[in-house]
Amino acid sequence: MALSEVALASWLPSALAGSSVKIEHLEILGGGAIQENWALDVSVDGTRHELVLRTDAPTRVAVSWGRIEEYRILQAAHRAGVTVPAPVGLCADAAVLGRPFYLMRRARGEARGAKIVRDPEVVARGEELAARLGRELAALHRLTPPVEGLDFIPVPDGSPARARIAEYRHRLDELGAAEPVLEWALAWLADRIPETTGVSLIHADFRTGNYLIDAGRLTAVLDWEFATFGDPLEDLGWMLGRYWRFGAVEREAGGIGSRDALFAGYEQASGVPLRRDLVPWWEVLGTVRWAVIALMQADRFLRGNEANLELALTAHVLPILEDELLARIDEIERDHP
Amino acid sequence: MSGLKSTDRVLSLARDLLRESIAPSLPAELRYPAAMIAAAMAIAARELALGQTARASELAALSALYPKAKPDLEMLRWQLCRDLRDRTTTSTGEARFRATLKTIVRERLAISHPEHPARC
Repeated sequence: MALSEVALASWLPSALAGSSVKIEHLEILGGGAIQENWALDVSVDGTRHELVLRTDAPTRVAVSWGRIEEYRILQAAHRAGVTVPAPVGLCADAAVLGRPFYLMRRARGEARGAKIVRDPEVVARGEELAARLGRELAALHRLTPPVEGLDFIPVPDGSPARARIAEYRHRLDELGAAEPVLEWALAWLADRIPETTGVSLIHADFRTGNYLIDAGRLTAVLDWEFATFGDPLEDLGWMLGRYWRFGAVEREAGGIGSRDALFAGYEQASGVPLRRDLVPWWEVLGTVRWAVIALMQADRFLRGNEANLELALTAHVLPILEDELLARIDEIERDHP
Repeated sequence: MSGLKSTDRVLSLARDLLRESIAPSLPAELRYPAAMIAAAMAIAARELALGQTARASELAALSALYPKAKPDLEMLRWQLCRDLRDRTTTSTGEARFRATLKTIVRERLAISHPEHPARC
């Protein structure tokens, strides 16, 4: 969907202080199904600023935050010292471009997972980079409720682990899906609810594909639209999912480095030992979550709302995730009889 | 007219033509959509070739779990899901449930992603 440069140009002076504000370049970037990202170069009194304009895609998924909420989360993460694109300005008025949007500084780097895991500089610096990712998560998880600007995020009442199981069972019911492997995995999880290690702001989609890597170094953590309050181990379990290694399966942390390096970085930054023994439970939960998301995306196609081949093919990811559930649970039971 | 009974082969041939003769000449922005089309055709071809056998295999596996129930695939899937959710008659430790689920998953993988070796 095209953006009105005229409308944008009239709004920019309210976000970028200066007597002369001019759009130099505006180009859509590759985005997700939920949002649109635009590269926006603006000169302010002769100084060029490289920005990203982020707004809703026409087919936003209801389970993710809108751009206003995401901007507040980005601000909180930035204040906490997480490496994120610096927030620049928010336009909550849908009258300007037809939907809310925000600006952030444009960071360099590659986000595509398949390219990251094959990059020789990432391979060479993998352990160091995995530790860095651990430190970033630890910085984020220092944010515990209440957090300034984030009162729209519900705080779990009771065990976050139980809440997630209930949430995924509810989604399966809403979908009318008879999925025995997922039900079995959810029953396995329900039999072994881990103690809550804390309630923090979690990214909830922290994985390769959602951060920028440049010359083997992290430059920005992106895509905060699923952030919520939950057990910090959820972020670690999700990150370690086999499906986020883009084929580099031996490097458990995002196809980049070892899980030990990820944990060591986390512990170094947090100053407390991590409950490493509980992480495998959250890995299994993460795989169930991904399977439920795949079913939801396929459902959007099947109900005829979106004639989108990519959505239609998403359902066929399910057997891979089911295989992973069965195999991973076998491994966990073998390692921890 | 035997060609009409080989729809899966027709699809496979069409997919090969797309991948080998057409996709390489496409502009960069069309290569991903072409790859998705090829993937969809491959899945459809395998579904035609293997789907009936896979469903029969799943039905046999589920019927072994519920020998007294009517051999209706959809009903048995729901029965298993209810039992797992309600924990009425099963324990997740039961090896036979796990073996049944593994059978089902392997059949599904053969249709959706035969390039992915089963780990379970």
